[in-house]
Amino acid sequence: MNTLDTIECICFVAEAALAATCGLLSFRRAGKRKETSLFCFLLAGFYACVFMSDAFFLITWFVEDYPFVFSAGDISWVGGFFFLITATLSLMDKWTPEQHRAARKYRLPALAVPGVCVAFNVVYIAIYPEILVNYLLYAIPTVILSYLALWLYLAGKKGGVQANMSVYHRAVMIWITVQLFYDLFSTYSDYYPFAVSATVSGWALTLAMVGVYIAAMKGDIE
Amino acid sequence: MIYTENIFVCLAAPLLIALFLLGGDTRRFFGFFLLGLTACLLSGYINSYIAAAVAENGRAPLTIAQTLVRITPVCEEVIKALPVFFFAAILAPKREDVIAVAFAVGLGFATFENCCYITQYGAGDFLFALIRGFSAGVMHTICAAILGYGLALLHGRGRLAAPGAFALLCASSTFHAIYNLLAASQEAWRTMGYLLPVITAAGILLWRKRPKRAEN
Repeated sequence: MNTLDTIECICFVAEAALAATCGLLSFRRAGKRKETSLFCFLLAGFYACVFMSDAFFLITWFVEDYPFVFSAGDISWVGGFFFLITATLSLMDKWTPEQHRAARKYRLPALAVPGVCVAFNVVYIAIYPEILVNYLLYAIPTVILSYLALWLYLAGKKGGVQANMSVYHRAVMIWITVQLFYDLFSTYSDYYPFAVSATVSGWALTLAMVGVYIAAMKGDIE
Repeated sequence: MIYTENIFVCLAAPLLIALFLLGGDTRRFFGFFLLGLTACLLSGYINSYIAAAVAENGRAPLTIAQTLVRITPVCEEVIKALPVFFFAAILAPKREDVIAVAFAVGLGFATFENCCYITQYGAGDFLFALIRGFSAGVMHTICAAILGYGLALLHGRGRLAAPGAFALLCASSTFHAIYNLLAASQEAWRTMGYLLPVITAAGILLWRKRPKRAEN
């Protein structure tokens, strides 16, 4: 194992440990606050998926030497995306009809961000067309989540709809952005500068993941 | 080689007759238990088909360990989840019913799988049977619990149901894959794999036994 591999391995261990901690804290909070228990349960599901994805990757790294095209680790990561999508959608359950009307006008501007996600994914597919299904499985939830996050962020910030959760939506957008860069750099990770960037963005992804938890709790308390 | 269809007929026949004699919740439980047995039989066919299809497409044939980690978990969890999704979406039951149905399918699946294993590898070794029962058997129960409790939580929430159900399916598939990966590995990892379902079950039990919050 070279130095970069060791750093990447430590990054995965750190991410798994932090995901487990955030997941347990979300789970505990879900049991304490009845009003937001569904949101916290779904957040716990997201962290459980991140934890399982990292655990699967680490175990495979240590135990077996499988070629990585698409594995259960990826399935778990995609599951994490869908937990976040469901958690974000669950926030809209409490909206009044007026809030729904107020938020509607921010739908169109929010389409800009999914456009950027699609562009990123076109680049990946151009690099490795043989694993199209893999990237599509990542691209679809990324596009949905980024659209929802930007829409609800704009609705909260400019339209005043559930403004306390704007910080959470911003954190989700940061997490998606870092995720896109991580995917791009790790695709090229056989080349030295990109390998370093992939390691750096891996650590940034870990921090962004913790940021989502802090932001969700901050918004929830307000 | 074992004749899984024969084992299936042997297990399913009394259950099928019992369905006509029972009523209410008990009938539903045994009905979905029977569907769990059927799901196990079907997933055996489909796993073999996919593994053969991969080899047919000119790729390197998968080893048994690779099939167990890459194909089996997703295939089995999807087939197991289908009756539960159908029940939750079409029959619009109560929350508790969704949990019961998910467990019934999971238990049926685990029962049939264990019967086939015992037939294939022999029932003489008590330790093997004990480990098998408390590892793979409990693992299927945990996967059923993930799906059942999760769907019960999302029950009646309209637009949350589809993405939430998919996320739960991903989570249960990964848990299954981690178990299979560990169980197919070398000694220390394998032991960890055998313990994983029991430890997770203990965690769920502790969560369920926690002091309830005061309802205001």
